[in-house]
Amino acid sequence: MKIRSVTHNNRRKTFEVRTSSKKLVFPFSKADPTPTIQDPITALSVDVEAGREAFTYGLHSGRTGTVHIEQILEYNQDPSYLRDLLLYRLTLEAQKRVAESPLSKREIVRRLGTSAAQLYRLLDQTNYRKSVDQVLALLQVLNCEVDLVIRTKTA
Amino acid sequence: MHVYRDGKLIVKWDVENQKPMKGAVTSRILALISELEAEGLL
Repeated sequence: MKIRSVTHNNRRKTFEVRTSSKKLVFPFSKADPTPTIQDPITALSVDVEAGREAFTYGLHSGRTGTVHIEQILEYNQDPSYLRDLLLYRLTLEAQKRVAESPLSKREIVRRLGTSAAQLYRLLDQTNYRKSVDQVLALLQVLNCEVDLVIRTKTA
Repeated sequence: MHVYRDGKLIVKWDVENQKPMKGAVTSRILALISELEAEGLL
């Protein structure tokens, strides 16, 4: 996700980031170094070197900081970012379980009713085009119980 | 950790699990990451 523009609001103490589809905020308090009244922002721009996926700011003291779009998405609890993170964690767990499993890869493929290529696709942690559903099916085949815990977010 | 070259993401590296999360890591990037870790910067 690319950042189109970034501004700061000293009254609200937030950075305001605009992407192609969203307007997101990021509080000063989450940024390091933290802008303050004594050390205010003097420069702010989208970071071109980071493929417009981050912004850089400078403070009156001369210190600089960079905030990546993923920090902003995480703070704003972006559903598709959180989905990718969940998928990554499940995939790492599946990789670990496959390595520890007494089942051969061929047997896992047979039980999943799929192809070897599909199994390797499911075990590729950089592939986010698979579904959570498919990884859950793999974990089931690996004799794992997956408990879903749904809880209300705390403030 | 995100590694860019000429404004393009090369790899998103999971420091904790030592695995790429996006893209692919080259041996040169791995060596640079190891250097940063040795210097305590990661």
